[in-house]
Amino acid sequence: MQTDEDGVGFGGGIDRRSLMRFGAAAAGTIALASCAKENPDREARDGKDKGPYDVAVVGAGYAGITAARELAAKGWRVVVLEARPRIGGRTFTSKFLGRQIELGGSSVHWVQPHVFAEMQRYGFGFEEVPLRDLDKAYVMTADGKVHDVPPARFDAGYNDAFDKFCEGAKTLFPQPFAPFSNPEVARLDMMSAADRMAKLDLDPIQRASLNAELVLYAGSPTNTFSYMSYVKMFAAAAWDPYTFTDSEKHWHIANGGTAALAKAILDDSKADVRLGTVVKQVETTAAGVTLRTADGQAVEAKAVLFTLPTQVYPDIEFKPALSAEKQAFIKNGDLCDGATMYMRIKQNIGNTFTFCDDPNPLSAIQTEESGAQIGTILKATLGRQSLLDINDQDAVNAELRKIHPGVEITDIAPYNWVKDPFSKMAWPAYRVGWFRKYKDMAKPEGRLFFAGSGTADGWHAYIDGAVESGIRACREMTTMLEKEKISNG
Amino acid sequence: MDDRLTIRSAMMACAAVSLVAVGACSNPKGGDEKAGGTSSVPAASIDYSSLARNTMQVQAGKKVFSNCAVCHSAEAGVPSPAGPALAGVLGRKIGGVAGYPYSQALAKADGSWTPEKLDAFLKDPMAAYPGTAMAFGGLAKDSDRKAVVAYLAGTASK
Repeated sequence: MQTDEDGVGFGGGIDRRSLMRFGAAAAGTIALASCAKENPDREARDGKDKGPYDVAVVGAGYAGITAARELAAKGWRVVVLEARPRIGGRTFTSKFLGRQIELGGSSVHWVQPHVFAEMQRYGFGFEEVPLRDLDKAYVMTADGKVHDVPPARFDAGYNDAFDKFCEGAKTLFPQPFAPFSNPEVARLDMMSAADRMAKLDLDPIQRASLNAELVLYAGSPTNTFSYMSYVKMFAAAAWDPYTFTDSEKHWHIANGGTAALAKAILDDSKADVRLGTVVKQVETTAAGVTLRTADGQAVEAKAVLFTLPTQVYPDIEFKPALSAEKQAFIKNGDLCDGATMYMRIKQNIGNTFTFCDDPNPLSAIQTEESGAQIGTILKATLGRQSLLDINDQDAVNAELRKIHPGVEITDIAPYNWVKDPFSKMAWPAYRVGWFRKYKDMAKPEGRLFFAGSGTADGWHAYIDGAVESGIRACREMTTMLEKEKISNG
Repeated sequence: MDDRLTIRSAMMACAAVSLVAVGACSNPKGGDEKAGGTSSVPAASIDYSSLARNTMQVQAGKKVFSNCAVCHSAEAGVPSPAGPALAGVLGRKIGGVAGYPYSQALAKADGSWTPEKLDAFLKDPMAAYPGTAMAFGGLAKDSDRKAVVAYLAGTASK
């Protein structure tokens, strides 16, 4: 069977799913979607010489672009300042061997109301990622031993562990989007996920599976991770393990992925966008805010929305400084050592799922595609990238061979969010005792407002949380801007 | 057979569309706007293509390049998902792709990409050019870096 240079086979070997993926890549949507300035109208709309903006939004991830669209729709003059040369923030659609891939936040679900509404608005359906009907399930326990677990037993055991860990979720979180309505939650925030697991009656396979899952969410060992923060997300998924698993790894955005939906939101927006624009200094006075960028721009606005990953705030000078509560949260509350990578191996190992317990670095490995021509494309998510050099294919291959002896990786596509200077961390992950402080990061400070998935009430660590926070920020900023407009006459 | 022809022509047509689109993507700070090109920099006076003579090393480099391909294209005419296009990067002025929103670290850097400078950058991007926007921790192995430089040396900007 002849292949082109990407190693994609043609002829009878392509199944419907790979054709769909290849179609998306061929449409060039990835390159276009990543660059917000391909629309010539947008260049003409960049009104930087037309006087101060009402609002500047720092960050063109899902929180920033949602807020920008909402604010501009209300008539405010908005500019989005994005440090990277692309939009999307901690979502990133790219390609690997001709297939569309997602290297950041990617999973969506109809029980995630905010992102689902955006998908509905712009006509994006759901694309299925293989998850059900596993051929094989593997669990690597902490000692490095690999267990080949019959999928039915794996599913049943995992769901049981879930139910035990999240027991009481309905009482603790009767309204998941008001997570501290039950005062017990604040009290239990001092308990780590490891503390909780130690109290449960689980077999070694269950323990390893659940711990790997929690390390993934934590971006750290589970003794530092807030147990309550995880149960809250379980509650948001209708207090149901099937729905939770369905929402975390089964469905992606169809027709171009996260980049395409982000582009749709931004194209629908009257906001201006500047890429490659790195804010270095924020100076607030009674009259307004001046943002100074690395390339010497000074952007003035009446109000500014920050949507930064927590670990990026220290790179910006705030005058006056951010509140003590925010500084404490930035230092202690939300650190995540995560990374994502795709790998292609020559061998066809079928539809598999693997959990590797800490300190084995490949926390979860999922088959994205398998077949006679392609072999297997795997997606690995690491809770702790510091345990493995994901740019070293030999090292990655050695880890994979512990589970699948003799496999040969031919290509990898890693993205290390910790090494990205504009995230410096992966997804939001609250530390023990800091989940109850998450609102400190959301609290407005005069003309400064704050959004981002980590500030969300509901599906924090997901795209839905980012969209939720953008909507909330628009509401807060509009209140402030309207009040000021009225009092200014 | 039909599937292959259809997919190939679709790919060519869409690469052309993407190319024009990237050309229209402009830097508000005043970079040259050129439709249809990813680089308007004249060809370098030093020819590094001899580095690509070892086909095994070039093949190894192509494999290492899969680390980079999530953001960068190394094929002339194929747009990059996020970073600047790297076809013909050896000998090119640092920060030299017209219209690309480089960080100040690279936009203000002197000189061109020699194999030595590229090696240092790929080993530890943040140390070599502090403030770079490139989201990459580095290639720790000397052999990986040499291989990918060899691979890039064999790519042409036209």
